[in-house]
Amino acid sequence: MPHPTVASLTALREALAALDLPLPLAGVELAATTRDEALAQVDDYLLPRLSNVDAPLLAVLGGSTGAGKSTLTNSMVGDVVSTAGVLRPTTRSPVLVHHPDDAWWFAGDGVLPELPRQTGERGTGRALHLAVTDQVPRGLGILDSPDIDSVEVANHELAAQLLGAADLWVFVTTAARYADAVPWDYLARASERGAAIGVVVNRIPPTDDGSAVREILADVRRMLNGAGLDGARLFGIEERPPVEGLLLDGVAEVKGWIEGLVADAEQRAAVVRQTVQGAVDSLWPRIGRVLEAAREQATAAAAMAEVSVAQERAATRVVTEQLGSGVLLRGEVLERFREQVGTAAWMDRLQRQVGRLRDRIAGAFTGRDGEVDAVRGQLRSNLVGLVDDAVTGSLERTVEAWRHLPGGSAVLHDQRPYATAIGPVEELVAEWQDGVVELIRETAGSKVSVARGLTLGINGIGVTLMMGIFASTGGLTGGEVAVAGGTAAFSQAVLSAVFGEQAIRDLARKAREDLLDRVAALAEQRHTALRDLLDSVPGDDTINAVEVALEELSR
Amino acid sequence: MSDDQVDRDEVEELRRRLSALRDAATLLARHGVPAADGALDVDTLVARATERLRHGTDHTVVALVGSTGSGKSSLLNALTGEDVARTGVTRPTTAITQAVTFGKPADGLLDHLEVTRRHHLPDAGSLHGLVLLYLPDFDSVAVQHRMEVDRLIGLVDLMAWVTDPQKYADEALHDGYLRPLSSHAEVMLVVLNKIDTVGADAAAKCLDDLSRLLVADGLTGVTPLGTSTTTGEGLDGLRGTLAAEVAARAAAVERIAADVNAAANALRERSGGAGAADLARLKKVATEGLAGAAGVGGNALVVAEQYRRDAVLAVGWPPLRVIRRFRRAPLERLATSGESPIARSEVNRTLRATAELVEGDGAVSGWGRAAAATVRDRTEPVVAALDTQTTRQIQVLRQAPRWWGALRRLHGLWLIALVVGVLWLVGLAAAEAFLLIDVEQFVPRWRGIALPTALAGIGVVGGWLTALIGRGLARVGAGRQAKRARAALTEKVAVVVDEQLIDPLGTLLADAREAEALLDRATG
Repeated sequence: MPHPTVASLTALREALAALDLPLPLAGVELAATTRDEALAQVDDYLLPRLSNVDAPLLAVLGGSTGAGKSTLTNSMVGDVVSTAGVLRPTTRSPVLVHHPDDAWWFAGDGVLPELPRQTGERGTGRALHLAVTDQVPRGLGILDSPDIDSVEVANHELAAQLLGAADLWVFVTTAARYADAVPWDYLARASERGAAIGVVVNRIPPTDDGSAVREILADVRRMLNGAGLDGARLFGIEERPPVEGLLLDGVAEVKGWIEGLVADAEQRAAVVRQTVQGAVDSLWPRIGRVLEAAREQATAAAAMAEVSVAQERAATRVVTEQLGSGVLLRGEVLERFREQVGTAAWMDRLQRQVGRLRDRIAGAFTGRDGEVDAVRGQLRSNLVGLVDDAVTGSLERTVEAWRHLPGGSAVLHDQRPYATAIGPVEELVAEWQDGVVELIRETAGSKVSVARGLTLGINGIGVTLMMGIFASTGGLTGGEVAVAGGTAAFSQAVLSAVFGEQAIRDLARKAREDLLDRVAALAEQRHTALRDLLDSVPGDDTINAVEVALEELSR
Repeated sequence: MSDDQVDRDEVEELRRRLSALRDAATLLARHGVPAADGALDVDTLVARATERLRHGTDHTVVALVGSTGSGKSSLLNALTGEDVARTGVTRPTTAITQAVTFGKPADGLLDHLEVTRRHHLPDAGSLHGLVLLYLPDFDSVAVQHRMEVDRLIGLVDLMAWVTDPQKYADEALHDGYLRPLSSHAEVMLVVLNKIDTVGADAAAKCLDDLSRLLVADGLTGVTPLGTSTTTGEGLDGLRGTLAAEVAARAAAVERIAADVNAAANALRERSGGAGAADLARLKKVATEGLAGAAGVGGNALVVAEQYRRDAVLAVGWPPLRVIRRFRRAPLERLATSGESPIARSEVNRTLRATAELVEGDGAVSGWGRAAAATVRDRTEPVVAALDTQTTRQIQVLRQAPRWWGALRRLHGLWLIALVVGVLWLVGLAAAEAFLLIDVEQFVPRWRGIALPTALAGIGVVGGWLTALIGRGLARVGAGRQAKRARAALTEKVAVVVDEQLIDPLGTLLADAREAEALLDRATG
């Protein structure tokens, strides 16, 4: 298979970078790490290497804390370029040793482009410390990477990134450590990526007949084969005190192997080919796992969104049903009494009006603005209560359902993530009421003057119409039927007289639809705000983009 | 007091703390705060601790646990003076837990620990009573090793963590075990083995560095012990430390105490404080809201109207009552909250507002949530209770006052006067017409006014005046009835609030306080 083009790889990289995994579902951390490492490998290794196949090789020495990576680096270079210490873990910047002629590649942004370069005194943190020496052959850089298993977590991330950028992995472990779980996680990744790899087992207790070396190497070989790393070169170094910071025995073999790879053009090309091909091939299973996680996220988010959409509809439906049941009018009938409490002359009014409710309501609309406003206000407060409860209740039920869905609790962060402010609901109802009056003004035109003649102000007509909308006998009992029915009949009679029956029916339908539209809009707005919490979850298009880019890569 | 007595007292005290912990966990679980999941399982903890205490404190169980290749086996061999553990160059070596009992067999205890491979050293000197468990590593590729370690470090009295200059800063050790176990510093030893491999200066530096890491783990006060099985350095110190622990016989109790403290703290964190919910303010908000939902104002006026009508019926001029009776009774218009969606939505909104008030800052704490749930899920019972209370109260309010009866009797009197007067006049008129009698002489007069006429007149005027007065009284009475009904209905709403919201919340708060007290007792 030919190497993929830089363009298709860049496209894949962009698509993959856009894939967020925000929901804490099972295994998501692993998938996110896989994605980040794949991205880093494309940036740090594949893109630079594909654009310059003949550039110098990079050998990265990785491994456990205290495995002797620095001492090994120094010994191979024959000079102390990286300080070894007894204290764990070291937080010093990783050292990259190269030949002066290769500075164009290593000191520039050839490999690991986004890591800063550093010379002179060696510092700490995420920067490559460059050591230039002609002890290293041309065409080779040796990188002493940080550890993979100490309490210093930043080290692991950097080490994983550096290993991703390597043409050649030199994995350093020790006799005491080679069975640790953490290094084998890394070796499994190397195996998946098909990287060219060498394993050095350091610090083997010296025995006279070399039996320990043999025994341990056989054991490691067995484990390597088990991990699918049959092709890995294996070296053993016995533990002897270093002379002036350098190891003498065993290092030559490792050094010879690496330098041999660099010196022979064919072998060198084979190493590059193996690692590039391995890295590209590994993108399928690796990105496949990321996509699987992304699809799980999309499914989880879709399940949550579905609940929200259903509840949003339910909120509007509740209001629709209750409008039809005449409850608003019924509340109003009783509220009419309530509203009068506290006025000094209530007894007089009671005497004049109570018991002749129909007359009273009729009286209420005959141009007395105070009464009209009171009815309108009462209608408004009933409607506000109804809409607020329907919408807030639907949000509450959505959130409650989310808490029990995968990933839901994390999205909600133990908060109330929706608005409960009553202001917008009040505005909604007030605007609707104004809208109804406006509607009548438009429809009625000159007939308004007729209404005025009937001493029904335009507001009076509006309220009468609103009453008409809500005054059906559904849901009413006992005497209320008479009252509501009377009211409705009266309203209808008055309005029909002025506008004609058909016009009134149209008006009522329009006003009702307008109200329901407004309620639906409010429910949608609040539910959309809630669903915005799911925005960062990858949608089908984001996932498809990665799939397409991956497909493109294999062409 | 003997040592045994001290031991027994301490064990008794610990048992009390364990039962306080279990009670607190049960109480919390009842309110939806889980006491068993993932990291925490109070029931298992209590059962395990009780079983351990049953075996007494004669033995001290020490786990020798460490990384692969840290020289645990050499250390075990050095401590026992025998070749108990296999040492090898290939890794990982230890797979099965090996127990070594010093001086005193501990088979029952080892059965409890489910350790089957046992080695007994009858002659143990200062280590008499020590049970040394040699555990598998926790960081190798062998997962079952890690599981065995995880199981046993939950059971032993004392943990001795063995590491070496190569591995002392490993994430697997610090993040995997030491930091999560920081509550158990008292029953923890840390041994830096193999110090001969780095030389004296470097060894001292390593020990300092390890101390720094231990402090960062939260294990202040744990001083790492440097040892070497090659040179024998530090072995006497380790033996001395173990001997002291065995002699003190306190490790088992201390370990369980640390478990109990950790569990109690975890529960405390989950449940949050009981808080000082302002029930008086809550009651005010809930009563106002529910009074609105129950239509107290409207109902009071309907009741008043009904009263006026009843009064007029009772004290109006009797002949007119018949006609009035056909009018519709105002009370028929009453709506109860159960039937009205508006009222229901108002109940919902009130409960929601109250729940938010209850939850307050404790939205993330267990008690805050439990309290809010107590209020929020109560729409149905609240609606039902409001209906019942309102309906009943309205019936009570309908009782007729005494003055109606008095006026009624007065009306009776006027009616009799009227009837007698009219009949008399009719009788006189008939006698005059048919019998042709001059009735004038039979008509008693007073100051020229004929008595029958006067009787009829008094009957009419008296009835009219009485009806007028009755009406006036009814009007005044209705005004007072409205006020009375308002107060009584609000009072009933307050009763509903008390029964449905405040009482359960009070119970909840009492439970929260009790759980808090129990946890305090468990913490000792």
